[in-house]
Amino acid sequence: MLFYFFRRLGRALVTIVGISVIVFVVARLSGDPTLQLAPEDATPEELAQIRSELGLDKPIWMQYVVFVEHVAQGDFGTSIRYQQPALSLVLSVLPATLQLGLSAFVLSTIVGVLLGVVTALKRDTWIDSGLRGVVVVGQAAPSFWLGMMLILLFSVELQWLPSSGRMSLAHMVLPTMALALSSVAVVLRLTRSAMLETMSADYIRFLRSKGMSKSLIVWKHALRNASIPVIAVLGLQLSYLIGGAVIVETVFNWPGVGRLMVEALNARDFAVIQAGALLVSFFTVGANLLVDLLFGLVDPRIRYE
Amino acid sequence: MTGEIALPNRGAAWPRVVKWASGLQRLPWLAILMIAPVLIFGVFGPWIWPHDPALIDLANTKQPPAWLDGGDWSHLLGTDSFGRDLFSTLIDGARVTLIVAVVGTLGSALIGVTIGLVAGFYGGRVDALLMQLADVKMSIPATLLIILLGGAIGAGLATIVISIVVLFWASFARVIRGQTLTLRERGYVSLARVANCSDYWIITRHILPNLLGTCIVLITIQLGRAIVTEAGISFLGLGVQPPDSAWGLMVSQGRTFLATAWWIPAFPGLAITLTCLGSNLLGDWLRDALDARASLL
Amino acid sequence: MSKADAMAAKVLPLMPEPTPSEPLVEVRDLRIQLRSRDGARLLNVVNGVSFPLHRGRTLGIVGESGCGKSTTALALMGLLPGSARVAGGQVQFAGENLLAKSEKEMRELRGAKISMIFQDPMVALDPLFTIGDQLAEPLERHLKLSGAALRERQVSLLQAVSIPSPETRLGQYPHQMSGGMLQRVVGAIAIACNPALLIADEPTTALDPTAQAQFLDLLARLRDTYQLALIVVTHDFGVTARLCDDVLVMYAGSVVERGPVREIFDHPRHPYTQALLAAIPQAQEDRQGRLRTIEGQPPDLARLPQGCAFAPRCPNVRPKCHELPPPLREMGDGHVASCWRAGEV
Repeated sequence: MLFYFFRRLGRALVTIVGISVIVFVVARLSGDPTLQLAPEDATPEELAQIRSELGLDKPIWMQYVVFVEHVAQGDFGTSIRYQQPALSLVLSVLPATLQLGLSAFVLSTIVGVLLGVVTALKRDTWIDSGLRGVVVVGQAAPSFWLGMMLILLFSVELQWLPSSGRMSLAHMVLPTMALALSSVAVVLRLTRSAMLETMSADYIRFLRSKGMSKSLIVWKHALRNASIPVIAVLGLQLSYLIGGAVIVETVFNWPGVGRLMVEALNARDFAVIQAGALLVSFFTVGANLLVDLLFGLVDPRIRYE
Repeated sequence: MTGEIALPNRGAAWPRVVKWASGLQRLPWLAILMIAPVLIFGVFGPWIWPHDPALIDLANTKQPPAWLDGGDWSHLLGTDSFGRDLFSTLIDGARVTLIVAVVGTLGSALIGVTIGLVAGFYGGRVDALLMQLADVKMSIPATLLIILLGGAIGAGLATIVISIVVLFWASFARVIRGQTLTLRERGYVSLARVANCSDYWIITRHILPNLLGTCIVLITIQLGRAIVTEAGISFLGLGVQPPDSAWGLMVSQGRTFLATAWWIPAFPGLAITLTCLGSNLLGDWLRDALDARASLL
Repeated sequence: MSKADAMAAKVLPLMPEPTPSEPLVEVRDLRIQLRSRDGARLLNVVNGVSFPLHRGRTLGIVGESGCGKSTTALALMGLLPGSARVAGGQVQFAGENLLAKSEKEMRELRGAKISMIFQDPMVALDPLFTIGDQLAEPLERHLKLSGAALRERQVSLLQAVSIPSPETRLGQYPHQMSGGMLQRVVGAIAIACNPALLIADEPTTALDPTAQAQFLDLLARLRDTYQLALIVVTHDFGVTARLCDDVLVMYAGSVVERGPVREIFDHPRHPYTQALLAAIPQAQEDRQGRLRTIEGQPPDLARLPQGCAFAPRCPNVRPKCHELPPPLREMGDGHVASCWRAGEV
């Protein structure tokens, strides 16, 4: 288990380095930041001076090393727009995004697994085809459009739920639903097929020959075995949901990283974009590491590897 | 005399027609019905649209769809805030949507399949490196990657295509790598190696043809996802810029009118959903059909 | 008595001996139909199987794959797949007809009074739970054991199936054990609640030769110690010779011959049985001779011939064989066979 964990930890660290390289390279693609910082009538000498202040006259790999050094010290650059450290700007809105992404994650996992089990047990009945029909449509719809349609139905027509802001628990309902639906579809389909496969396994037949009750067979043995391929995609789902949250936030005026980044994008405030992308990605990598640990908890074959 | 000879021929042709017809029956008509509009609109748009999609009619703004009060049949789906015919702009938007989705998906397929083949065939460090790269890509939430790219290269058609390629290559690479790994162990590949065939020969003659079915299924499914992704990019304002139009942009622009003229964002979104749904269904059907064929062989 | 036997006898007190004349299991004219894959037809996969079985005795059901032997076994457990249904007959068990019982009633019997061992031990146990956990399940459910009593019983059951250091094994997972060891665990789970009837479906097919011999010895020992009625489903006459008192040979869903094991081996009356016995590779005799096989293929259940099902492959077929299916006829000494020429051979 310890070996397994350290190997995963190693991979996560490599992934984090990879992310930092990509963010750094893409940031360099955005053009010469000197021109943004310098006054418009700057002479070439002044430009050169700013460049050397920023370290841009050094070779690219040294620039990367400097970039990593700064990031490691928590220096993600300064927002041009707010004249504040980008890190504190992102950190102030990160909880809102994580709240939305994580609640959608929990919701879609629970609902997706439950419905997946139900559809597998009621295979080829109207419940099965009905539920699968709904989620297939849900999976195809873009989350932001789904969010708008939810607002149209529940806020504009029925006036049951608020459509914008982050004041109360009720404010969370619609964005969470809009975000979770497509993920529910993925988890449901995967759980269903995994359940169908495990339910036909030999050990299930042996359990029946032991006289075990159906509920024990389904919920203790079949579900636990079926959860392995489901857990395998949870990390991906989380990354997808955190990313999706960024877009859905815009629709519901949810004060999270998404809104901050869209604003930063319009203002070409690159330090903020860079900090947001790095922090959210780091969080995703951490969450994936937790999912890997969950794997070890569920499957003894990994624990004893 | 000739009639007598022709008879058995005609007799033999009939079963073929019947077989062909019953084969037609098994086609996924629902899926085809969902995908056909974007193809037809995208290619034949200018010959189909009832009005010029750019025609502004300020006397006739936000007119509801034909079947609602205040609607009229000359504007089937109503008009937008500039009085443009919504149905016609939808047809117009299909073109950009289609181009972007097709180019983006094919681009990502080309890169993803190549990487997957190389990683799966050579294994070892190359494989580890490429799969680590895929891992890194998967760890950066898609939206953030789009914003990052958009920030770097600015908004526009190219951004959408590049984003789609950057986002999708890894899905192709992973599946193709997995299949290449199993194909590599097949007997005929070992035989080809013994026969001293070049890697290029083995890959193009023995491995790639076996991956064709998988590629077709993946491309079909990713095409739908590409349309949704395009919508997301346009929604963030990083895609097509007005006066050009694409479905995602129409949803984004229509957001302001959600409470007053819901049809403006609703129909383009519905078009995205249906097209994506159709491509998912078609992909599932293709997978089953190709699987069935594979098990017959 | 070996040490393991003594241990086992301590754990599981003998059940009162039933009157010798009364069989524990009595299957009468069991018929099972299976829906064909396209759902259009019903295939008669088991076609009038009958046999009695006493406690402490072993019946071997022998035949090629697809002859209906496993389906018969599953029907006794009430575990037929959804596509199969019982079309007729009775399964009397301790005086009750099992086929008339509800699923709930069967669940009370399964694992408690009737147990089953399946072919492949590597997949018979849930990979995610310890041996101890899976052994505890029937004990908790049927015997309501818990705590120290449960623990003690788990340990002694593993000892009863000759598993060394049972305390350690209880905490291990299936992937940490070998196939032979796992099949013993499966055996321990099967006898956990002191059942009267144990059904073993190809119990040694997936094991290596050494483990096969050991497991057969174990089955014999368990049968003798606990006076189990044992049914062994197999395609291997070697298993039958080693373990069984009676043999039932099936072909295309029907019983073709049944009798005491010595009778069947020494005087097989049905040409199919004769052919099966002749197909066994002999270690000593006939070294130069080629391995004998049975000509032809097992019949398609959807297109059974009108007369004897074996007729198309039979070396001494007569015109009558193609017209009428032969009935089971008494040959003396509890030996029955269904062949028109059984009397002649």
